[in-house]
Amino acid sequence: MRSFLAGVGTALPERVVTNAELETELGGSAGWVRDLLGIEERRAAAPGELGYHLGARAARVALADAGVEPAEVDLLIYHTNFADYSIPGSGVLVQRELGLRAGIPALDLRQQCAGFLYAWMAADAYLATETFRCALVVCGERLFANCLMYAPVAPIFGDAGAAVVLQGTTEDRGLLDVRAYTDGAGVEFGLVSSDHYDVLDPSRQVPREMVRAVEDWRRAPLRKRVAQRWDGSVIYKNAVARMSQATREILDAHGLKVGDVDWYLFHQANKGIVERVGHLLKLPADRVLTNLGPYGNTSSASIPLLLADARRRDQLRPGQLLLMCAFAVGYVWATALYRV
Amino acid sequence: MAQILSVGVALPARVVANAELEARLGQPPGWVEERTGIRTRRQAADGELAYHLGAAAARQALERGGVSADELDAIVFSTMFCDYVSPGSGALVQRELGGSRPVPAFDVRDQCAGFVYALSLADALVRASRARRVLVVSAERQHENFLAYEPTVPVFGDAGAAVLVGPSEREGRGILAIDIGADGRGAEIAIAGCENVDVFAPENRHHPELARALAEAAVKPPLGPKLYFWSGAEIFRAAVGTMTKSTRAVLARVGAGLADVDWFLFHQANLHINQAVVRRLGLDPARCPSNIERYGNTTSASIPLLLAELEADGRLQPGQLLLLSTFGAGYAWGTAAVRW
Repeated sequence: MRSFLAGVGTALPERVVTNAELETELGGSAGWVRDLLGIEERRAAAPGELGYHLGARAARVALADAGVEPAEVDLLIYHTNFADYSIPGSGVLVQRELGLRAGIPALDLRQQCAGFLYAWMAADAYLATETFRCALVVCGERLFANCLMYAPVAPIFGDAGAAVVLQGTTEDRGLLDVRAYTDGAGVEFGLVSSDHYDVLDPSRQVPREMVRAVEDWRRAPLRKRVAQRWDGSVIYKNAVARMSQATREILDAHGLKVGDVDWYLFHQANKGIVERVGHLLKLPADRVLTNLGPYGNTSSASIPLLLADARRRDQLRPGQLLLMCAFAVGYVWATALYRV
Repeated sequence: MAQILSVGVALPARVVANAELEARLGQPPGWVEERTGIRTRRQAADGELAYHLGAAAARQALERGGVSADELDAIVFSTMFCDYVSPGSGALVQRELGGSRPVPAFDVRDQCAGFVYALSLADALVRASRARRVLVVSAERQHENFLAYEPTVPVFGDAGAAVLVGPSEREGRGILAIDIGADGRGAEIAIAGCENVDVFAPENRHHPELARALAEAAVKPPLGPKLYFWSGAEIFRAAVGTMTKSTRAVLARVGAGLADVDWFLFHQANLHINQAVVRRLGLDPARCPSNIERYGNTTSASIPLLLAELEADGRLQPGQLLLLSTFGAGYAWGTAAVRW
């Protein structure tokens, strides 16, 4: 038994934030955000519009797309990068908002930008063992406001919700393979402190992965009491190397060549990473889907957003092969191979 | 079938007695024990984060299981209050263990049900043949958080615990059945704000899950900048009802009666909850071990902590039937039947 996409849904906040708006706030020459990142604009959640609201809206669309009633869902997996609350995880709020059956599990995961593929891997194991039969995977990302206070990432992130309905099939289609990876040696290059362990309290011992972030904060304090570090060049190098390697690995494992894949869906972190991976693997540029321009980096929502837009444009045909790959801070990353 | 192959624990050195907390709360001696059954709890040291406790417990589980970090196929980490907003600490546990392969590290956030949710995911990965050696790590550093909210001050303790899960090594032995569930209608009963969303901002006030927390905060301002709400009485009622029902459901699935169970390992949230479950099900209290007196509520670490104690003092014997059950904020809960 393998899992297949029975439905896809997305939800975008109404407010569009243009580069011009951010360039005024951040300084720099006109056009630098588009030239450097490939991002034209991004969406920003309205005041009071939380990650789970975006996730739940997307989930309603996905359920309608699949023709599945909320009562048929027997597994909910919720993923977000920045939580709405410390307690509880927002999976239960999506469950309540959608009127899913009381008593179904709401598994809450935190895997940063690789969240969608990690969540799918979990759902796939549950469907493969027939523990559950109809999984709803929901990604709710509200990052813009948080990232805005840290200049190096302010123009990168956008808000979005995305969801998929997954069911099991014995046909020769669906998720052929999914592989996930972690290398915690990367933690110190991209991290955000929490209010649970206040690393900015001068009496506190600072864990080694936080030392640089705290030094940065002392030089340039943020508007909120969190320390962040985002070493773009180190993350870029690691993202390119690991995404290329993971892509080759999954292709080789299935005896496939790059040309056998119809569409490549890479997590949309920035233009440089996606283009470099494409160049190294010699991928045909017209098979690499992107949505950085209109949405920016929507973290775990980016790959299901690519899926939804490709379907809307009627690009996905039965029998086609999709390769998905995401890399995130942590580092955590994952690849998947899917037969439409 | 999957099996728990070994168990490990890690407790912070510092023991905090009730007297210290009673003095802080301005309550007479004996007040905490009477309400909660707790005498002492552990408190993590400065610089000792949840992932440190988790990694120490994980090392012990690996050692006892005779498995090296290089042989691991996956890690499933569970915590309630994260060490960092991003990334999840699964990556840090992976770094600390120093395995040579970049195995997936899932980060689960399901509050007090986290261990059983994580166990369920490990079980699915093993049964679906996606992994042969999975480390489930539950680690909690929560004392600062709860010291900031009066009703929870005496309840919570810090701890790390881990179990190694792999394919069953003997016929009929292992994880026989798991029920995981959630009901978001309980979301507002136990809730805590976080740094990502300003819950005091006027635009967030209409969120139904915050209504009671804000009403309480208006009358009785929180001790810190974070918004909490915790209704012990309502959690008590929901916990007793759900744990009783879930226990019966899991036993029915494995064709066993209450009398067939050698040990009931209930999440140690509050002595009175477990006493009520024991009465409601008519269980022999001698078969329901407790450690809340010494450790308080250690959230997702409490069940593996009990398991480790039973194993260490020789009470746990091969072939015995165990029933694990937990209930927590969300609401989220989980029950498992295990043939040891």
